[in-house]
Amino acid sequence: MIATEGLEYYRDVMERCIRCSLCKWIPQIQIKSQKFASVCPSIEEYGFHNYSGGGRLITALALLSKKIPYNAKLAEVVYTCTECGGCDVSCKNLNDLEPLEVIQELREHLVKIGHGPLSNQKKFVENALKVHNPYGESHEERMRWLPKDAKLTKGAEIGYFAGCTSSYRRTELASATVRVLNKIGVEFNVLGTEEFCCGSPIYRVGELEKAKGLMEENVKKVQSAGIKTLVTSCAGCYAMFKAEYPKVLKMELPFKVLHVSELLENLLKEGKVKFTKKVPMTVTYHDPCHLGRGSEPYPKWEGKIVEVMPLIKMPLPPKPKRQGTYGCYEAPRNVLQQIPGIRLTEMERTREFAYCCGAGGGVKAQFPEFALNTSKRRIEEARSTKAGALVSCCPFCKTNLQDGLAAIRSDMKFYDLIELVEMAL
Amino acid sequence: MELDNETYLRLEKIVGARNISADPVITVNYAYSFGSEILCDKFGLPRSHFAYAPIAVILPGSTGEVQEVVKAIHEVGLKFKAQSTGLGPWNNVSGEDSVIIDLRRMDKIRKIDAKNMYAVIEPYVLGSTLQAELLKFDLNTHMPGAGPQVSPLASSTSMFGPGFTSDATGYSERNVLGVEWVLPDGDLVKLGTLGLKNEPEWYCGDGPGFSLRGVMRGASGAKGGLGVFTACAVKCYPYPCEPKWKITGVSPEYEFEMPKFMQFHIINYRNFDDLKEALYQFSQEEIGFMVNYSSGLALAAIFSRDRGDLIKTAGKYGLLKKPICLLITARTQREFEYKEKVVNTIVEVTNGKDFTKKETLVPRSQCYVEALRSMLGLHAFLASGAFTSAFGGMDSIGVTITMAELNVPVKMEYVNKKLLANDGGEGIWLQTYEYGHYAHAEMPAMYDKLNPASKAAVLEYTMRTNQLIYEKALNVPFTVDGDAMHDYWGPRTCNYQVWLRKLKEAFDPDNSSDSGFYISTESALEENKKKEQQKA
Amino acid sequence: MKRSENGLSSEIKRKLSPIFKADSISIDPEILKSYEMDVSLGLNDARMPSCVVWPQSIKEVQLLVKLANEQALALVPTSSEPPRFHGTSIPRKDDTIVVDFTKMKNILNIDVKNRGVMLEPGVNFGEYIEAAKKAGLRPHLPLYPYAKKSVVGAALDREPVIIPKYHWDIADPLLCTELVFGTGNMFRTGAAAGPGTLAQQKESGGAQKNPMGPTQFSPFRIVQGAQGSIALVTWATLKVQRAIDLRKTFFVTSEKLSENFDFIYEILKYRLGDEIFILNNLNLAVLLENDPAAIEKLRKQLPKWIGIISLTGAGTLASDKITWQEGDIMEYANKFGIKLVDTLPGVSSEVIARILEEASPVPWRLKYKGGCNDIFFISTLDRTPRYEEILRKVAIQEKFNASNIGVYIQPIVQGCNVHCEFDLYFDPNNGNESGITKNTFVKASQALIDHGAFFNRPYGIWADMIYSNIQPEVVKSMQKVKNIFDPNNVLCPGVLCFKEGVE
Repeated sequence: MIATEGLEYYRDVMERCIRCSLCKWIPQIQIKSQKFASVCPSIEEYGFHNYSGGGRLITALALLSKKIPYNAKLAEVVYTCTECGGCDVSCKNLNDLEPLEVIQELREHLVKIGHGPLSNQKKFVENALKVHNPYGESHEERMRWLPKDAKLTKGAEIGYFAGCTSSYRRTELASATVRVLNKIGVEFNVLGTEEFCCGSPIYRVGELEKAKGLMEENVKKVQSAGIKTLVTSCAGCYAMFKAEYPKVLKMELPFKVLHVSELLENLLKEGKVKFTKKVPMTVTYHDPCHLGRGSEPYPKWEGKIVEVMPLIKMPLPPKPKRQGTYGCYEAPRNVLQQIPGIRLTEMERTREFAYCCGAGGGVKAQFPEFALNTSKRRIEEARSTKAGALVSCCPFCKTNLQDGLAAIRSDMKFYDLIELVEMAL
Repeated sequence: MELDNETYLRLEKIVGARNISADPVITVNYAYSFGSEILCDKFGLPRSHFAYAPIAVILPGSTGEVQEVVKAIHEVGLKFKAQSTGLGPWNNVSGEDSVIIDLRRMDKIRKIDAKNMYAVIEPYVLGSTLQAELLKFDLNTHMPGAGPQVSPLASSTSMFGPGFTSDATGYSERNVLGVEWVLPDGDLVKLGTLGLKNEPEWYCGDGPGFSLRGVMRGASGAKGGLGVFTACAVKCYPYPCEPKWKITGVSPEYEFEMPKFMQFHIINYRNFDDLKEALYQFSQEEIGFMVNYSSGLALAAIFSRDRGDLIKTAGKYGLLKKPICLLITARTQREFEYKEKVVNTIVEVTNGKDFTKKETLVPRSQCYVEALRSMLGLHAFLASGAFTSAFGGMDSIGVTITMAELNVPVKMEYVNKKLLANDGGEGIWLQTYEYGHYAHAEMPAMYDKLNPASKAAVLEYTMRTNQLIYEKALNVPFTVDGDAMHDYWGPRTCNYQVWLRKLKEAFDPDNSSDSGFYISTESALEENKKKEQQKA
Repeated sequence: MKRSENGLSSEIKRKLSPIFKADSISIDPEILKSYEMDVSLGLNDARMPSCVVWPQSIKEVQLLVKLANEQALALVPTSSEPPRFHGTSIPRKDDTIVVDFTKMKNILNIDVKNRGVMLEPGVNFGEYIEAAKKAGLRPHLPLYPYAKKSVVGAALDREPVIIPKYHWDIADPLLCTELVFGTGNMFRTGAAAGPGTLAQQKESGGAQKNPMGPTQFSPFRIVQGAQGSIALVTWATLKVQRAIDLRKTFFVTSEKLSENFDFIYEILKYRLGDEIFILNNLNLAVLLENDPAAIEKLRKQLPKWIGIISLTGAGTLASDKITWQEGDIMEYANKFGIKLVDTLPGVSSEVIARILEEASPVPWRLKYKGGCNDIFFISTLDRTPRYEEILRKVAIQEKFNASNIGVYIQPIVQGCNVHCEFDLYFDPNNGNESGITKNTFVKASQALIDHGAFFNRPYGIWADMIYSNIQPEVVKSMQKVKNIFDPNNVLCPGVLCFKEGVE
């Protein structure tokens, strides 16, 4: 007997899916061309309806209805999703279903019954738990990226959380962030070897309990370090702290969470940062899913489903929808546009309906071809703007998009925002 | 039932390994639709969210692949059913031996002839993506009420066709030009100018001689029962206003930078006579981009952002008795002024009250962009997940008003028993076409699919309204499909089912194309009857 | 020319007597002779029918069709008074009965509110226009239709109407029909099919306006354009508009056909104007004048190409409407550097209104030289200059006087395509001219087809030409339809691609 309480909680949502397929596309009124109308990398790659947000709702319902087996295909359907949340935003533009939560729940369900995560993802999870980073690298080497002349302030209220990808793979971003913070005179500290994985690679593949333990530990550490504002340059870590930690731990975090772009925006507003060098470049900006729609906190709701008139039930008070309204979209743009010489030209799919880079949700580890194809699709859109460079704010996006640029041998450059900021200081 | 390996491999060879699946995880997904329970009743299955699952799902990428797939399926004696965007129970298979041909990969806009105002589309082109591309040429497309995310090809060749802008953009059946059609045996027939050997083109779908469009579909299409349509040309319309599309803000608070010369009018009427007269006048003056009548509650849903918003707006809109929703669009100031003048004149002579002019009901800018993008109809699903539509006949405005009047007391019986949602009996979508030359009306009834009494009520309500249609000669609903319905309505309607069945037998003698929502051959019908007797 | 033996005709007459009144059947050779050919050259070989009947009810038609099935007779319908064109009513085999509907001429209903009329096939344009005017309605008309031509016949033939914006579908203005299939079964198409009788439908507010269906096929589309080979129609409903109160007509002229196309495309696109079509100077002169000398005089005064754009208004805001449309059209004209004029040399607005609103006492195409073979097909506006050139080349080759070619281009289906027509004028009493005209007609038709002209109304010899240029699957599909609705091929055997039974 397979326990399905978690999925059962979402039965109402599943049953209200009308299979309208809005989830496959950016919000309909935002469509400006046929080429860049899709929001779901998964169904673009795999084609069958199952691989859409709505398709996964139906899959979940099929499981509850005992209509389908637990097999490799099911695992593939569940895990060939970057959990970008595009389906969620599009669906909720009109409806109030929860495709993304159901997808997450499906993963947690598969893990609970021993059918998930998948092999490569398992390795990442094991690594993250064992050596505190999904790459299996030595934990002692975590701070290797720190510039020798970096100025850290013990007891500073601002803490910089580099995250695993910036610590081991995109070290240039962590280094650049620290140099920038130093240059603009921000007093901050780092957790050093107390910095463990934020839990994203564990959580996103459905290992909820394992992730929960890690989350609790991380919160304690940040608190113990006296950090009042945790700043990160990684969108993945940002979304975890901002949105998933409060949800999973069912608590308000005892510290503020900022992305470095938000910090910079504030400082620019206060006149504490001035860009002195020109960076003449036409750029286009890619919204990382986890900095944008994925970072929106889960709204609290303490209402009931009430029959407002016979046969018409509605949540009362109205249930607030998590639909990407409060993601971090403008801060990076505001910073970019204040860099002298930068000209920003936008892609068609931006902000809460930006197209995913293809890396997240355990996809890059387990389905590298899918991740690369998605990256290529996004790059095609970036190139259509005729910009010379693609800019983003996430080391994982950088990894996957750079892989895509290399795969198509494009001369388009890629920069993280922090790199351009450093160039301009 | 499982697909035998040999057939699977044959199909796999045609489309490639990643484009076919017989895994139940995949196939069962296609057994779901928003009307699954009704489907289960229709096919005699135990009630469930899932009706019949296809034996396999296949994704061909070209007309040639579709032909080969259809031929292969036909040769082995299985059935097939094509679908594209797949909204609605009509996309489901009617037995265990049907392969779903999911046309997702055929998504090209093959051509836009801006001068001659048509576009050639494949099945997975959406109304919205087509409109976005046509906007660049200052053109527009008709979109069905199901929303901009559904396929105009499916609507034109295989399904229904009413849309919120139908007074100005017609009905899908009437907007088709050349068609590329894979018959149930895999042969490819090209309608109209497309069939020319010398310089084939897409601009005409009729002839030489009579038009095979008459076989292809009627008021509704064959819903997968007569082969696969792999491309068609659709007539385009002028973009109704300034061709700009700028949206700011973040979901859900979008602001649409209003093009010049657009204005909603929500005009209320107190009785059916005045409403009828107003509909006639508005449509024959040829001024509306949108001209339709629905209940106050429906308008509340249409103009609400979401369910939370609906709770706030329902109070205001719910006071409307018989509202006409009129959207005026224009290209020039003088056109706009003329149309507004006409509106004011008609409102006065027909005793209407323009609530938008009075600024009592002011749709947001997002409502305008949704109107342009034909998204308003989707809002109907806000209030509840389960509904069905009664009536659905199409002829004159007059007969649709008769339907509306007759519906009220019947529906209220069930509303008063709390078995159907309370819309005052006035839940309706009455839509005019081609400047009011004809109209259709369907009465949505919301029910609780978890409540057996409510489900029984909706069935009973439908039967009673069908009886009314027959007794009062109210025109066959355009949703009539399937053997049982045809055998019911046919004898009441010139025995049309005899001819329709003959067409099926001529074009699909082996019943290869899934007939669940079309009509079966005589032999298949006999076989089905035997199976049902055995089940019983 | 083949004659039926009088003995055989008498036998047929005997079998027909129980069905028709005595004065509704004839085997009089003088009367039969009038059906053996028409004024179009080269479309058909002439053949006399065995008999002609004038049905006046659907019951008679049904019984006739049943008899035809039993006795292997052929039936050819006609509903216009002579002169007739395009060989549509000419028998193609022995034992053919001409079914002449000219006595079935009731205007069954005029529905002003719903803007629809129900006509029997014998109602002609003269009668129809008069009745519509009285009722305050404005019919959808072809260009200056012959007064004795059948309205239903024209609609069934898909004859193009002159107001593109009201031509939503190529089938317009045809709506519902009542008919008898080749099997003898009666049927009603569209909303008329039911449920209920027509009276019951009307009582509920129905108006037999919706042409589609019933349900999942549209038999009216199979009957329309079939040249009588699928069913015999006993009434049809047609779309009409309300009468106009004001009209203002403009002309756009040029020396080159395509010069004003951008402008014409633009106003078609934005649904400005009502009647819109293009003529060459010869055809406009033929339309407006009544004798060859006057025609010659007028054509010399006129520019080579004339586009006619007429604006109308109805009701209390009629002039407001015209003001708007005129303003917008002038803006587009300025945009393309075009001058619109409201008069032409020798042309008055009254005379123009006549050809837009009335019926012609004689077929206008015969006014110039007495004979006219018209070549017409569907194309798109931008392709028409190329076809005009092809025709001229063939004319030169065959020594046909190019100055006797009239051109009429009618945008249809709201501008998605056009009816493109070349009128070859000739003196039918001049054997040489007739011969040249026939050769030109045949060769030009073939040349046009070879270059993609879509002859979707394939009369006579065009049928073989076009069906050999069409995908065989189309022919196969049409044959399937024919086998259902007329399995014994009693209706117009030999038309379209249905060759069986033609000797």
